[in-house]
Amino acid sequence: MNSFALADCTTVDAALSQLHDGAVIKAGGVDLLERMKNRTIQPSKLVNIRNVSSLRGIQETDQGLSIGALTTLTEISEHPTIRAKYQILSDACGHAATPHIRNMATLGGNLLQPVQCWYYRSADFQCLRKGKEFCFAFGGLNQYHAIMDYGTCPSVAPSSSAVALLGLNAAIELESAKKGKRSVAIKDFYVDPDANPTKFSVIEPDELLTAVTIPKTSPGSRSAYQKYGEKESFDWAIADAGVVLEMEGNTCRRAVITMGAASPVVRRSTEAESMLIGKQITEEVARAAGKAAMTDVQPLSMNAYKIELFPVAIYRTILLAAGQMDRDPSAAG
Amino acid sequence: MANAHETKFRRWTTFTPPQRPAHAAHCGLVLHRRAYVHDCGRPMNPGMVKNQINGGILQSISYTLFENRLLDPAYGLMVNPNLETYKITGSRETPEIEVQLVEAYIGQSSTDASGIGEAAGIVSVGAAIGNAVYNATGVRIRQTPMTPAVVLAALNQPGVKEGRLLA
Repeated sequence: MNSFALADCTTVDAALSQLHDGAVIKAGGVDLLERMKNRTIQPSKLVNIRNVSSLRGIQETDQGLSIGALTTLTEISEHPTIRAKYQILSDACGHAATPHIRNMATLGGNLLQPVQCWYYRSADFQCLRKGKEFCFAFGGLNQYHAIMDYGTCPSVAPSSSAVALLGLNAAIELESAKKGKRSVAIKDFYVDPDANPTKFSVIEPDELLTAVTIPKTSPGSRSAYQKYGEKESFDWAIADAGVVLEMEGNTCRRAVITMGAASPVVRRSTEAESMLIGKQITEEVARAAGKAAMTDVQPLSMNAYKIELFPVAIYRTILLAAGQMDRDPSAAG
Repeated sequence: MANAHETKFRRWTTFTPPQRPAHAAHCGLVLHRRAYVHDCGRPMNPGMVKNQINGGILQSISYTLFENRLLDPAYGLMVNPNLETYKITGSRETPEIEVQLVEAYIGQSSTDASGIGEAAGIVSVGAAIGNAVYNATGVRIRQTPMTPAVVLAALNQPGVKEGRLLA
Protein backbone atom coordinates (compact mmCIF):
# COMPACT_ATOMS: atom_id res chain seq x y z
CA MET A 1 0.00 0.00 0.00
CA ASN A 2 1.35 3.47 -0.88
CA SER A 3 1.45 6.28 1.66
CA PHE A 4 -1.45 8.71 1.63
CA ALA A 5 -2.74 11.77 3.45
CA LEU A 6 -5.78 11.40 5.69
CA ALA A 7 -8.25 14.23 6.24
CA ASP A 8 -10.48 13.53 9.20
CA CYS A 9 -13.80 15.40 8.89
CA THR A 10 -16.74 15.78 11.25
CA THR A 11 -19.13 17.76 9.03
CA VAL A 12 -20.43 17.28 5.49
CA ASP A 13 -19.16 20.73 4.41
CA ALA A 14 -15.67 19.99 5.69
CA ALA A 15 -15.65 16.69 3.79
CA LEU A 16 -16.91 18.30 0.57
CA SER A 17 -14.24 21.01 0.75
CA GLN A 18 -11.56 18.26 0.79
CA LEU A 19 -12.86 16.48 -2.29
CA HIS A 20 -10.48 17.63 -4.99
CA ASP A 21 -7.30 16.45 -6.72
CA GLY A 22 -8.09 12.78 -6.56
CA ALA A 23 -9.11 12.64 -2.90
CA VAL A 24 -11.22 9.58 -2.12
CA ILE A 25 -13.94 9.24 0.51
CA LYS A 26 -13.43 6.63 3.23
CA ALA A 27 -16.45 5.59 5.29
CA GLY A 28 -16.31 2.04 6.68
CA GLY A 29 -13.19 1.40 4.59
CA VAL A 30 -14.16 -2.22 3.92
CA ASP A 31 -13.97 -2.22 0.13
CA LEU A 32 -11.67 0.79 -0.25
CA LEU A 33 -8.83 -0.57 1.89
CA GLU A 34 -9.05 -3.91 0.14
CA ARG A 35 -8.60 -2.23 -3.22
CA MET A 36 -5.72 -0.17 -1.85
CA LYS A 37 -4.03 -3.32 -0.59
CA ASN A 38 -4.59 -4.97 -3.98
CA ARG A 39 -3.00 -1.86 -5.50
CA THR A 40 -5.86 -1.40 -7.89
CA ILE A 41 -6.35 2.08 -6.44
CA GLN A 42 -3.61 4.29 -5.02
CA PRO A 43 -5.19 7.54 -3.81
CA SER A 44 -2.97 10.34 -2.54
CA LYS A 45 -5.57 11.44 -0.01
CA LEU A 46 -8.40 9.80 1.90
CA VAL A 47 -11.22 11.87 3.36
CA ASN A 48 -12.49 10.08 6.44
CA ILE A 49 -16.22 10.72 6.92
CA ARG A 50 -16.78 8.05 9.51
CA ASN A 51 -17.15 10.69 12.24
CA VAL A 52 -19.72 12.83 10.39
CA SER A 53 -22.60 12.11 12.76
CA SER A 54 -25.25 13.82 10.58
CA LEU A 55 -24.78 11.11 7.93
CA ARG A 56 -25.69 8.32 10.30
CA GLY A 57 -29.13 7.11 11.27
CA ILE A 58 -32.55 6.17 9.96
CA GLN A 59 -35.39 8.71 9.92
CA GLU A 60 -39.03 8.05 9.23
CA THR A 61 -40.53 10.98 7.34
CA ASP A 62 -43.93 11.75 5.76
CA GLN A 63 -42.54 10.62 2.42
CA GLY A 64 -41.15 7.38 3.75
CA LEU A 65 -37.69 6.62 5.02
CA SER A 66 -34.38 8.42 4.89
CA ILE A 67 -31.26 6.38 5.63
CA GLY A 68 -27.99 8.20 6.21
CA ALA A 69 -25.10 7.01 4.07
CA LEU A 70 -23.02 6.02 7.09
CA THR A 71 -25.67 3.76 8.60
CA THR A 72 -24.16 0.31 8.87
CA LEU A 73 -25.70 -2.76 7.27
CA THR A 74 -26.29 -4.22 10.75
CA GLU A 75 -28.18 -1.11 11.89
CA ILE A 76 -30.38 -1.28 8.78
CA SER A 77 -31.09 -4.98 9.06
CA GLU A 78 -32.04 -4.68 12.73
CA HIS A 79 -34.15 -1.52 12.50
CA PRO A 80 -37.73 -2.33 13.64
CA THR A 81 -39.52 -0.26 10.95
CA ILE A 82 -37.34 -1.68 8.17
CA ARG A 83 -37.96 -5.18 9.49
CA ALA A 84 -41.72 -4.58 9.55
CA LYS A 85 -42.28 -2.64 6.33
CA TYR A 86 -39.19 -3.07 4.17
CA GLN A 87 -38.33 -6.71 4.72
CA ILE A 88 -36.48 -6.83 1.39
CA LEU A 89 -33.94 -4.27 2.63
CA SER A 90 -33.57 -5.87 6.03
CA ASP A 91 -32.96 -9.25 4.34
CA ALA A 92 -30.45 -7.85 1.86
CA CYS A 93 -28.42 -5.87 4.41
CA GLY A 94 -28.61 -8.66 6.97
CA HIS A 95 -27.18 -11.32 4.65
CA ALA A 96 -24.27 -9.51 3.05
CA ALA A 97 -20.76 -10.78 3.84
CA THR A 98 -20.24 -11.61 7.53
CA PRO A 99 -21.44 -10.12 10.83
CA HIS A 100 -18.04 -8.41 11.32
CA ILE A 101 -18.21 -6.76 7.91
CA ARG A 102 -21.84 -5.75 8.37
CA ASN A 103 -20.87 -3.95 11.57
CA MET A 104 -18.28 -1.89 9.69
CA ALA A 105 -19.74 -1.58 6.19
CA THR A 106 -21.94 1.42 5.47
CA LEU A 107 -24.90 1.65 3.13
CA GLY A 108 -23.14 4.29 1.01
CA GLY A 109 -20.04 2.15 0.67
CA ASN A 110 -22.09 -0.90 -0.19
CA LEU A 111 -23.84 0.98 -3.00
CA LEU A 112 -20.62 2.47 -4.37
CA GLN A 113 -18.53 -0.71 -4.62
CA PRO A 114 -17.03 -1.26 -8.05
CA VAL A 115 -17.84 -4.57 -9.71
CA GLN A 116 -16.62 -7.83 -8.18
CA CYS A 117 -14.76 -9.14 -11.24
CA TRP A 118 -11.49 -10.78 -10.22
CA TYR A 119 -9.77 -9.41 -13.30
CA TYR A 120 -10.84 -5.89 -12.38
CA ARG A 121 -9.84 -6.45 -8.77
CA SER A 122 -6.35 -7.72 -9.62
CA ALA A 123 -3.49 -5.31 -10.28
CA ASP A 124 -2.09 -7.90 -12.71
CA PHE A 125 -4.84 -7.42 -15.27
CA GLN A 126 -5.30 -4.05 -16.96
CA CYS A 127 -8.85 -4.43 -18.20
CA LEU A 128 -11.50 -2.46 -20.01
CA ARG A 129 -12.86 -1.02 -16.80
CA LYS A 130 -9.46 0.36 -15.88
CA GLY A 131 -9.47 2.33 -19.13
CA LYS A 132 -7.69 -0.27 -21.26
CA GLU A 133 -9.11 -2.09 -24.25
CA PHE A 134 -9.44 -5.72 -23.32
CA CYS A 135 -11.83 -7.77 -21.18
CA PHE A 136 -10.16 -10.89 -19.78
CA ALA A 137 -13.37 -12.50 -18.56
CA PHE A 138 -14.78 -13.52 -21.95
CA GLY A 139 -11.94 -15.91 -22.72
CA GLY A 140 -10.87 -16.51 -19.13
CA LEU A 141 -12.48 -17.68 -15.91
CA ASN A 142 -16.04 -16.42 -15.86
CA GLN A 143 -18.01 -18.74 -13.56
CA TYR A 144 -19.24 -15.85 -11.43
CA HIS A 145 -19.88 -13.42 -14.26
CA ALA A 146 -23.01 -12.05 -15.93
CA ILE A 147 -25.53 -14.07 -17.89
CA MET A 148 -27.53 -11.17 -19.31
CA ASP A 149 -27.51 -7.48 -20.27
CA TYR A 150 -23.78 -7.34 -20.87
CA GLY A 151 -21.96 -6.00 -23.89
CA THR A 152 -18.26 -5.30 -23.47
CA CYS A 153 -17.93 -6.19 -19.77
CA PRO A 154 -19.72 -9.18 -18.18
CA SER A 155 -18.88 -8.37 -14.56
CA VAL A 156 -21.76 -8.45 -12.08
CA ALA A 157 -23.22 -5.80 -9.80
CA PRO A 158 -21.86 -6.53 -6.30
CA SER A 159 -24.23 -4.61 -4.03
CA SER A 160 -26.99 -6.66 -2.43
CA SER A 161 -28.57 -3.56 -0.88
CA ALA A 162 -28.93 -2.12 -4.41
CA VAL A 163 -31.05 -5.15 -5.36
CA ALA A 164 -33.40 -4.28 -2.50
CA LEU A 165 -33.37 -0.52 -3.08
CA LEU A 166 -34.18 -0.99 -6.77
CA GLY A 167 -37.21 -3.01 -5.70
CA LEU A 168 -38.24 -0.21 -3.33
CA ASN A 169 -37.72 2.52 -5.96
CA ALA A 170 -35.28 4.39 -3.73
CA ALA A 171 -33.48 7.62 -4.55
CA ILE A 172 -29.82 8.37 -3.90
CA GLU A 173 -29.07 11.81 -2.44
CA LEU A 174 -25.80 13.36 -3.62
CA GLU A 175 -24.13 16.59 -2.58
CA SER A 176 -21.14 18.54 -3.85
CA ALA A 177 -19.54 21.85 -2.84
CA LYS A 178 -19.95 23.40 -6.29
CA LYS A 179 -23.24 22.02 -7.56
CA GLY A 180 -25.15 21.53 -4.33
CA LYS A 181 -27.61 18.72 -3.79
CA ARG A 182 -29.23 16.41 -6.30
CA SER A 183 -31.31 13.29 -6.11
CA VAL A 184 -30.92 10.36 -8.51
CA ALA A 185 -33.38 7.47 -8.79
CA ILE A 186 -31.56 4.20 -8.16
CA LYS A 187 -32.54 2.87 -11.58
CA ASP A 188 -30.50 5.71 -13.13
CA PHE A 189 -27.70 5.61 -10.57
CA TYR A 190 -25.51 2.86 -12.03
CA VAL A 191 -23.73 3.32 -15.34
CA ASP A 192 -23.87 0.64 -18.01
CA PRO A 193 -20.27 -0.36 -18.86
CA ASP A 194 -21.08 -0.05 -22.57
CA ALA A 195 -21.86 3.65 -22.04
CA ASN A 196 -18.74 4.32 -19.96
CA PRO A 197 -16.54 1.38 -18.92
CA THR A 198 -14.52 3.28 -16.31
CA LYS A 199 -17.51 4.74 -14.47
CA PHE A 200 -19.61 2.60 -12.14
CA SER A 201 -22.23 5.11 -11.06
CA VAL A 202 -23.24 8.68 -11.88
CA ILE A 203 -21.54 10.05 -8.76
CA GLU A 204 -18.84 12.63 -9.61
CA PRO A 205 -15.43 12.69 -7.86
CA ASP A 206 -16.39 15.84 -5.92
CA GLU A 207 -19.75 14.46 -4.80
CA LEU A 208 -20.66 12.77 -1.56
CA LEU A 209 -23.45 10.22 -1.19
CA THR A 210 -25.32 11.59 1.83
CA ALA A 211 -28.49 9.53 2.12
CA VAL A 212 -30.88 7.10 0.52
CA THR A 213 -34.58 7.91 0.55
CA ILE A 214 -37.22 5.26 0.17
CA PRO A 215 -40.86 6.10 -0.62
CA LYS A 216 -43.63 4.85 1.67
CA THR A 217 -44.81 1.36 0.98
CA SER A 218 -48.38 1.06 -0.18
CA PRO A 219 -50.90 -0.93 1.84
CA GLY A 220 -50.79 -4.64 1.12
CA SER A 221 -47.11 -4.44 0.22
CA ARG A 222 -44.88 -7.37 1.13
CA SER A 223 -41.32 -8.01 0.18
CA ALA A 224 -38.37 -10.37 0.53
CA TYR A 225 -34.81 -10.89 -0.63
CA GLN A 226 -32.73 -14.06 -0.78
CA LYS A 227 -29.16 -14.62 -1.77
CA TYR A 228 -27.54 -17.85 -2.89
CA GLY A 229 -23.80 -18.38 -2.83
CA GLU A 230 -21.43 -21.31 -3.09
CA LYS A 231 -21.00 -21.02 0.65
CA GLU A 232 -23.53 -20.05 3.27
CA SER A 233 -21.15 -17.70 5.02
CA PHE A 234 -18.82 -15.00 3.72
CA ASP A 235 -19.51 -15.38 0.04
CA TRP A 236 -20.71 -13.28 -2.83
CA ALA A 237 -24.03 -14.08 -4.40
CA ILE A 238 -24.03 -16.29 -7.46
CA ALA A 239 -27.76 -15.61 -7.67
CA ASP A 240 -29.90 -13.25 -5.63
CA ALA A 241 -33.40 -11.94 -6.00
CA GLY A 242 -35.55 -9.22 -4.47
CA VAL A 243 -39.33 -9.30 -4.68
CA VAL A 244 -41.87 -6.60 -3.76
CA LEU A 245 -45.53 -7.56 -4.07
CA GLU A 246 -48.58 -5.34 -3.65
CA MET A 247 -51.44 -7.63 -2.79
CA GLU A 248 -55.16 -6.99 -2.92
CA GLY A 249 -56.60 -9.83 -0.94
CA ASN A 250 -55.02 -12.87 -2.56
CA THR A 251 -54.41 -11.19 -5.90
CA CYS A 252 -51.13 -9.57 -6.87
CA ARG A 253 -51.79 -6.02 -8.05
CA ARG A 254 -48.23 -4.93 -8.64
CA ALA A 255 -44.91 -6.76 -8.54
CA VAL A 256 -41.29 -5.72 -8.71
CA ILE A 257 -38.66 -8.41 -9.19
CA THR A 258 -35.01 -7.43 -9.07
CA MET A 259 -31.88 -9.48 -9.64
CA GLY A 260 -28.25 -9.04 -8.69
CA ALA A 261 -25.31 -11.18 -9.84
CA ALA A 262 -26.92 -11.59 -13.28
CA SER A 263 -25.85 -8.44 -15.07
CA PRO A 264 -23.30 -5.59 -14.80
CA VAL A 265 -25.99 -3.33 -13.34
CA VAL A 266 -28.77 -4.44 -10.97
CA ARG A 267 -31.83 -5.13 -13.08
CA ARG A 268 -35.59 -5.49 -12.89
CA SER A 269 -37.21 -8.40 -14.64
CA THR A 270 -40.41 -7.06 -16.19
CA GLU A 271 -40.91 -10.48 -17.83
CA ALA A 272 -41.11 -12.13 -14.42
CA GLU A 273 -43.24 -9.32 -12.96
CA SER A 274 -45.84 -9.63 -15.73
CA MET A 275 -46.33 -13.31 -14.85
CA LEU A 276 -47.55 -12.31 -11.37
CA ILE A 277 -49.76 -9.28 -11.97
CA GLY A 278 -53.48 -9.96 -11.62
CA LYS A 279 -52.88 -13.50 -10.42
CA GLN A 280 -53.03 -15.32 -7.13
CA ILE A 281 -49.57 -16.24 -5.97
CA THR A 282 -49.18 -20.00 -6.05
CA GLU A 283 -46.12 -22.17 -6.40
CA GLU A 284 -46.95 -22.74 -10.07
CA VAL A 285 -47.26 -19.02 -10.80
CA ALA A 286 -44.05 -18.29 -8.90
CA ARG A 287 -42.15 -20.95 -10.84
CA ALA A 288 -43.45 -19.56 -14.13
CA ALA A 289 -42.24 -16.10 -13.10
CA GLY A 290 -38.82 -17.50 -12.26
CA LYS A 291 -38.58 -19.12 -15.68
CA ALA A 292 -39.76 -15.96 -17.42
CA ALA A 293 -36.90 -14.01 -15.84
CA MET A 294 -34.47 -16.06 -17.92
CA THR A 295 -35.87 -14.94 -21.29
CA ASP A 296 -32.82 -13.12 -22.61
CA VAL A 297 -29.91 -15.06 -21.20
CA GLN A 298 -26.56 -15.42 -22.94
CA PRO A 299 -24.32 -17.45 -20.63
CA LEU A 300 -20.55 -17.32 -20.95
CA SER A 301 -18.34 -20.40 -21.22
CA MET A 302 -18.46 -21.29 -17.49
CA ASN A 303 -21.61 -19.80 -16.00
CA ALA A 304 -24.55 -21.57 -17.66
CA TYR A 305 -25.39 -23.09 -14.26
CA LYS A 306 -26.72 -19.69 -13.19
CA ILE A 307 -29.62 -20.14 -15.62
CA GLU A 308 -30.88 -22.89 -13.33
CA LEU A 309 -30.15 -21.03 -10.11
CA PHE A 310 -31.94 -17.76 -10.85
CA PRO A 311 -35.42 -19.23 -11.50
CA VAL A 312 -35.15 -21.15 -8.22
CA ALA A 313 -33.95 -18.06 -6.32
CA ILE A 314 -36.77 -15.98 -7.81
CA TYR A 315 -39.59 -18.43 -7.23
CA ARG A 316 -38.55 -19.12 -3.65
CA THR A 317 -38.25 -15.40 -2.93
CA ILE A 318 -41.70 -14.74 -4.43
CA LEU A 319 -43.20 -17.37 -2.15
CA LEU A 320 -41.25 -15.97 0.82
CA ALA A 321 -42.58 -12.47 0.06
CA ALA A 322 -46.11 -13.82 -0.29
CA GLY A 323 -45.81 -15.53 3.07
CA GLN A 324 -46.18 -18.98 1.57
CA MET A 325 -42.70 -20.26 2.32
CA ASP A 326 -40.29 -19.85 5.18
CA ARG A 327 -36.91 -18.38 4.61
CA ASP A 328 -34.86 -20.89 2.64
CA PRO A 329 -32.39 -22.45 5.09
CA SER A 330 -29.87 -23.00 2.30
CA ALA A 331 -29.91 -19.34 1.27
CA ALA A 332 -26.71 -17.57 2.20
CA GLY A 333 -26.23 -15.46 5.25
CA MET B 1 -13.39 -62.41 28.81
CA ALA B 2 -13.21 -59.95 25.97
CA ASN B 3 -10.01 -57.97 25.77
CA ALA B 4 -9.93 -54.24 25.17
CA HIS B 5 -9.46 -54.65 21.44
CA GLU B 6 -12.57 -56.80 21.09
CA THR B 7 -14.65 -54.39 23.14
CA LYS B 8 -13.57 -51.52 20.97
CA PHE B 9 -14.12 -53.58 17.86
CA ARG B 10 -17.65 -54.42 18.95
CA ARG B 11 -18.33 -50.74 19.54
CA TRP B 12 -17.03 -50.03 16.05
CA THR B 13 -19.15 -52.67 14.37
CA THR B 14 -22.33 -51.52 16.09
CA PHE B 15 -21.64 -47.90 15.26
CA THR B 16 -24.66 -46.39 13.44
CA PRO B 17 -23.73 -44.71 10.19
CA PRO B 18 -25.07 -41.23 9.53
CA GLN B 19 -28.66 -41.35 8.34
CA ARG B 20 -28.64 -38.18 6.28
CA PRO B 21 -25.02 -37.26 5.63
CA ALA B 22 -25.55 -34.89 2.74
CA HIS B 23 -28.12 -33.77 0.27
CA ALA B 24 -27.87 -31.82 -2.93
CA ALA B 25 -29.40 -28.42 -2.32
CA HIS B 26 -30.55 -26.34 -5.24
CA CYS B 27 -27.14 -24.75 -5.54
CA GLY B 28 -24.64 -26.65 -3.56
CA LEU B 29 -24.07 -29.42 -1.10
CA VAL B 30 -25.09 -29.06 2.51
CA LEU B 31 -23.47 -31.40 4.96
CA HIS B 32 -25.52 -32.20 8.02
CA ARG B 33 -23.47 -34.68 9.96
CA ARG B 34 -20.08 -36.20 9.58
CA ALA B 35 -19.03 -39.27 11.46
CA TYR B 36 -15.48 -40.54 11.59
CA VAL B 37 -14.14 -43.78 12.97
CA HIS B 38 -10.39 -43.99 13.22
CA ASP B 39 -8.05 -46.88 13.93
CA CYS B 40 -5.49 -44.95 15.91
CA GLY B 41 -3.41 -47.43 17.84
CA ARG B 42 -3.05 -46.35 21.45
CA PRO B 43 -4.13 -42.73 21.81
CA MET B 44 -1.62 -41.12 24.18
CA ASN B 45 -3.87 -38.08 24.49
CA PRO B 46 -7.38 -38.87 23.22
CA GLY B 47 -8.41 -35.20 23.26
CA MET B 48 -5.55 -34.28 20.97
CA VAL B 49 -6.31 -37.20 18.65
CA LYS B 50 -9.94 -36.10 18.31
CA ASN B 51 -8.81 -32.55 17.80
CA GLN B 52 -6.51 -33.65 14.99
CA ILE B 53 -9.30 -35.62 13.33
CA ASN B 54 -11.74 -32.71 13.62
CA GLY B 55 -9.23 -30.42 11.96
CA GLY B 56 -8.57 -32.93 9.20
CA ILE B 57 -12.28 -33.32 8.51
CA LEU B 58 -12.81 -29.56 8.29
CA GLN B 59 -9.89 -29.11 5.95
CA SER B 60 -10.97 -31.92 3.70
CA ILE B 61 -14.57 -30.67 3.54
CA SER B 62 -13.00 -27.46 2.37
CA TYR B 63 -10.99 -29.27 -0.34
CA THR B 64 -13.98 -31.28 -1.44
CA LEU B 65 -16.56 -28.51 -1.68
CA PHE B 66 -14.85 -25.16 -2.05
CA GLU B 67 -11.12 -24.78 -2.42
CA ASN B 68 -9.75 -24.22 -5.88
CA ARG B 69 -6.64 -22.42 -7.00
CA LEU B 70 -7.90 -20.76 -10.14
CA LEU B 71 -5.36 -19.84 -12.78
CA ASP B 72 -6.26 -17.78 -15.80
CA PRO B 73 -5.82 -20.17 -18.73
CA ALA B 74 -4.12 -17.62 -20.98
CA TYR B 75 -1.91 -15.77 -18.51
CA GLY B 76 -1.25 -18.37 -15.83
CA LEU B 77 -1.94 -15.89 -13.05
CA MET B 78 -4.00 -16.84 -10.03
CA VAL B 79 -7.27 -14.92 -10.10
CA ASN B 80 -8.31 -15.73 -6.54
CA PRO B 81 -5.21 -15.04 -4.45
CA ASN B 82 -7.10 -13.86 -1.35
CA LEU B 83 -9.39 -15.34 1.27
CA GLU B 84 -12.35 -13.51 -0.22
CA THR B 85 -12.32 -15.40 -3.51
CA TYR B 86 -10.33 -18.49 -2.48
CA LYS B 87 -13.15 -20.17 -0.64
CA ILE B 88 -12.64 -22.21 2.50
CA THR B 89 -15.06 -23.83 4.92
CA GLY B 90 -16.71 -21.33 7.23
CA SER B 91 -18.67 -21.81 10.40
CA ARG B 92 -21.95 -22.11 8.47
CA GLU B 93 -20.58 -24.94 6.34
CA THR B 94 -19.35 -26.97 9.28
CA PRO B 95 -21.51 -30.03 9.99
CA GLU B 96 -21.96 -31.83 13.25
CA ILE B 97 -18.81 -33.92 13.60
CA GLU B 98 -18.69 -37.14 15.54
CA VAL B 99 -15.39 -38.90 16.14
CA GLN B 100 -14.89 -42.39 17.53
CA LEU B 101 -11.48 -43.84 18.22
CA VAL B 102 -10.83 -47.53 17.70
CA GLU B 103 -7.93 -48.48 19.91
CA ALA B 104 -6.22 -51.34 18.13
CA TYR B 105 -3.15 -52.72 19.91
CA ILE B 106 -1.24 -54.76 17.40
CA GLY B 107 2.17 -54.77 19.02
CA GLN B 108 4.06 -52.97 16.27
CA SER B 109 5.89 -50.68 18.65
CA SER B 110 6.74 -50.46 22.33
CA THR B 111 3.80 -48.10 22.95
CA ASP B 112 1.35 -49.26 20.23
CA ALA B 113 0.86 -45.60 19.34
CA SER B 114 0.25 -44.69 15.69
CA GLY B 115 0.79 -41.51 13.73
CA ILE B 116 -2.38 -39.50 13.51
CA GLY B 117 -1.32 -36.62 11.29
CA GLU B 118 -2.70 -36.00 7.84
CA ALA B 119 -4.17 -39.47 7.57
CA ALA B 120 -6.95 -38.48 9.94
CA GLY B 121 -9.66 -37.05 7.77
CA ILE B 122 -7.94 -35.62 4.76
CA VAL B 123 -8.00 -38.56 2.41
CA SER B 124 -11.32 -40.20 3.04
CA VAL B 125 -13.71 -37.29 3.36
CA GLY B 126 -13.90 -36.50 -0.36
CA ALA B 127 -14.86 -40.08 -1.08
CA ALA B 128 -17.39 -40.11 1.78
CA ILE B 129 -19.04 -36.92 0.52
CA GLY B 130 -19.02 -38.33 -3.03
CA ASN B 131 -20.77 -41.46 -1.72
CA ALA B 132 -23.28 -39.33 0.19
CA VAL B 133 -24.06 -37.36 -2.95
CA TYR B 134 -24.51 -40.60 -4.85
CA ASN B 135 -26.78 -41.89 -2.11
CA ALA B 136 -28.86 -38.70 -2.18
CA THR B 137 -29.07 -38.12 -5.94
CA GLY B 138 -28.03 -41.27 -7.78
CA VAL B 139 -25.22 -39.35 -9.47
CA ARG B 140 -21.50 -39.95 -9.12
CA ILE B 141 -19.38 -36.82 -8.93
CA ARG B 142 -15.73 -37.56 -9.57
CA GLN B 143 -14.38 -34.05 -9.49
CA THR B 144 -13.50 -31.65 -6.71
CA PRO B 145 -14.40 -29.09 -5.61
CA MET B 146 -18.06 -30.08 -5.92
CA THR B 147 -19.32 -26.56 -6.58
CA PRO B 148 -22.92 -25.75 -7.58
CA ALA B 149 -21.80 -25.66 -11.22
CA VAL B 150 -20.27 -29.15 -10.96
CA VAL B 151 -23.26 -30.60 -9.08
CA LEU B 152 -25.77 -29.11 -11.55
CA ALA B 153 -23.75 -30.37 -14.51
CA ALA B 154 -23.71 -33.86 -12.98
CA LEU B 155 -27.45 -33.78 -12.30
CA ASN B 156 -28.09 -32.60 -15.84
CA GLN B 157 -26.24 -35.44 -17.53
CA PRO B 158 -28.39 -37.29 -20.04
CA GLY B 159 -30.34 -40.08 -18.42
CA VAL B 160 -30.23 -38.68 -14.90
CA LYS B 161 -33.71 -38.48 -13.47
CA GLU B 162 -33.29 -38.92 -9.76
CA GLY B 163 -32.35 -35.75 -7.96
CA ARG B 164 -33.16 -33.58 -10.95
CA LEU B 165 -34.14 -30.03 -10.16
CA LEU B 166 -37.83 -29.33 -10.52
CA ALA B 167 -37.74 -25.65 -11.49
